[in-house]
Amino acid sequence: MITLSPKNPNHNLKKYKLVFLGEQSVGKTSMITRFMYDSFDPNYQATIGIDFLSKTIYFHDRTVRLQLWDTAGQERFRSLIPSYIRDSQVAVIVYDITNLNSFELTTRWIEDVRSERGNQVVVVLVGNKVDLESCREVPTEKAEKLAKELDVLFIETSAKCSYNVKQLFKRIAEALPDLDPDRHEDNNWLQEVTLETKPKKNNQKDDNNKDYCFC
Amino acid sequence: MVNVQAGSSTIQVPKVFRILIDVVKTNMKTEGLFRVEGRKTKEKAIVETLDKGDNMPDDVDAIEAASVIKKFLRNISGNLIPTDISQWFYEAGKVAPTKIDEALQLCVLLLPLRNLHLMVYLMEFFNEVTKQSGSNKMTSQNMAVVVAPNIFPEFKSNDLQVQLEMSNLTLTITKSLIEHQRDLPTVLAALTNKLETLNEEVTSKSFYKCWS
Repeated sequence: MITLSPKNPNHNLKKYKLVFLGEQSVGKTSMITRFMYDSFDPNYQATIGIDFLSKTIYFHDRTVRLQLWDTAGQERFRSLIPSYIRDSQVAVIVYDITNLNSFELTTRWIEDVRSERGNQVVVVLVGNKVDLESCREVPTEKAEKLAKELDVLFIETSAKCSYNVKQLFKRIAEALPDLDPDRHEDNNWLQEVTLETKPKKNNQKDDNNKDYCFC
Repeated sequence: MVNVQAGSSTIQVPKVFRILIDVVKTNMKTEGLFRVEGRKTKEKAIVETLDKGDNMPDDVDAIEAASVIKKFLRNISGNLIPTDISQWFYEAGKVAPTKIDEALQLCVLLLPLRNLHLMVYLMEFFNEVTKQSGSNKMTSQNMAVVVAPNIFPEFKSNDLQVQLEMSNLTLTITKSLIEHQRDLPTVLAALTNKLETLNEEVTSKSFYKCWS
């Protein structure tokens, strides 16, 4: 049974803007690519300026349109980012678990988001690249603690191995305003994933797919 | 300013760039060189050291030195490619792909001499970085993405499409400059030779001296 919100009598598409923030090469684009196309591009490619993609999703009997804004982590583009934050309902702050510096700089991004949007925004702290566990520099507990202190959601993912990426978007959808997760029990959008202790290895044959790092 | 060799020409560049590049050269295989951010506290320390004219601390790594190179590039007053000349570069970036390099060579010659020298020096070095892309993953495309915003005048537009077109244009230009930097010292040498023939009095040495 579809429940229509009084605001949307015609069942219009509700649109949400998500902005992805974080330092360079933490995996912002990879995360979006994994969610959009369920694929991973092993080529290391820096994002040019700002890019955006849209995806319509079905969640709790509702169709919502997500606009994903991918920002370049470059210094020069930083001045442009506040205007994208201003329009967003969700800010996804990504860091690389194998790079402590990228984690430490997340507080700066979160401050930027809070100063533009206050509490009118869903903020998620995402620790990416858990497939490189042996090179981890940021303990999960440390990030959990920070997320709690700053009152933001937290999850660890691997865009490369498709680990927890759907879960990330599910958590975001649940936190979106006007989308009450308790309204319906059935969850047609995004199957609940059983989290494995170890992320799945990507079967793609590619030199870049090796689990290695330079630490 | 220090003298450095570019092809057969001796050019002059600010000392800080040579010091920083020497540090980057110690670890050219670092993944994400020029892309990954360094530790802010370290970067600040490097800038302070260079400002004071002290020796570089030993524990500076390639990533941080690369970040500081970008920082200095952004701080060059009037940019490496100054606003008035940037228009010519933008035009050059729009010509047929086979003609871009030739058009850009002409544009580079329009740069003030100090900028021209630094351009030749940096592009040669960036090209060297891309030769290690098997390890550092910085192909000419990636290098251009991270370098372009630091050498062109800042461009802002509320229109996303316009903003993206501009980013792509500066990317195309920078990529071409990095890939075909080898021609730049030759062009520079040819220009100097021509000037020398025109006026025997103008030796390349005094020619450069008047700009330093």
